[in-house]
Amino acid sequence: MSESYVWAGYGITVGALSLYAAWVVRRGRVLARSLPPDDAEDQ
Amino acid sequence: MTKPAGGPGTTLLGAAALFGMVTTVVLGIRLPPTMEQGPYARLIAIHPPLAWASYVAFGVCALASVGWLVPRTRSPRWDQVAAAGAEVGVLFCTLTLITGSIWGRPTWGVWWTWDARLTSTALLEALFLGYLALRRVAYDPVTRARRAAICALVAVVDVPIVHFSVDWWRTLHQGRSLAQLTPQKDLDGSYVSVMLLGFVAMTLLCSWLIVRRSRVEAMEQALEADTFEVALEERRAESVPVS
Repeated sequence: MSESYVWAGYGITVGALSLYAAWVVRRGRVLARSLPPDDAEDQ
Repeated sequence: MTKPAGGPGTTLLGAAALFGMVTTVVLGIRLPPTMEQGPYARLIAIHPPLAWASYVAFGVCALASVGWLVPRTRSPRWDQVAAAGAEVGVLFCTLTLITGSIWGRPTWGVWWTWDARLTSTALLEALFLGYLALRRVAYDPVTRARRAAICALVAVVDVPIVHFSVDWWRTLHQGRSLAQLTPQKDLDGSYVSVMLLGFVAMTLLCSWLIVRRSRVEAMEQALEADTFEVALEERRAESVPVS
């Protein structure tokens, strides 16, 4: 039981940061494909 | 097509952040239990660094907002960096509150208490959630950027209040974690080194996320502008009189 708080803290942190990082990378790729090449290169 | 990953610098930053985070988690989870707090003290490797990273992100948001507000330096880039800083800061601040609550339950006996540090942190979270909500209100880009920049400068005032709240008020929360790094404090050396590593890793990760998110924001704004142009052209075409 005592260890579960520690695992929960680490698990939630690693999980949330990983999910957000993956979302940012994926969103960047999707937008880069949907923008005209000129606009995309400006970013 | 653009490179959403950015240049080699961003890739290197991301790799360093990943390495730092993995090392922090592996070493942090294996820290020896302490006499006072048992295994819960292991959360020191992530909880104070998460709070620090939220300060960094909100600070970047405020500085970028100043960059946008000063006419000589005004550029959409500043607005994009500010938006990214606020969003990343809210993520780190949320995780600070969650890990703090998880730490508080076994050590204080409660998930939450209206302590000065906790309350000012919750207020910081609420202020920047308000900032993000304000950005979603449909104004023209210049008005939105101006209102958001002013909001960021108001909200960031809470950062030093959070940081020094443990000195200014009597709190249940322990003293400033950075003060634990001084040699006269009796925090075990392994704890100090893993916590320092955590600070470095979270700062690198926070920086990488802001860089990547600001590029996404720039592309979203470009797409928004393109969509607006198309809609405008369609309206113009509709209004052409038929001869």
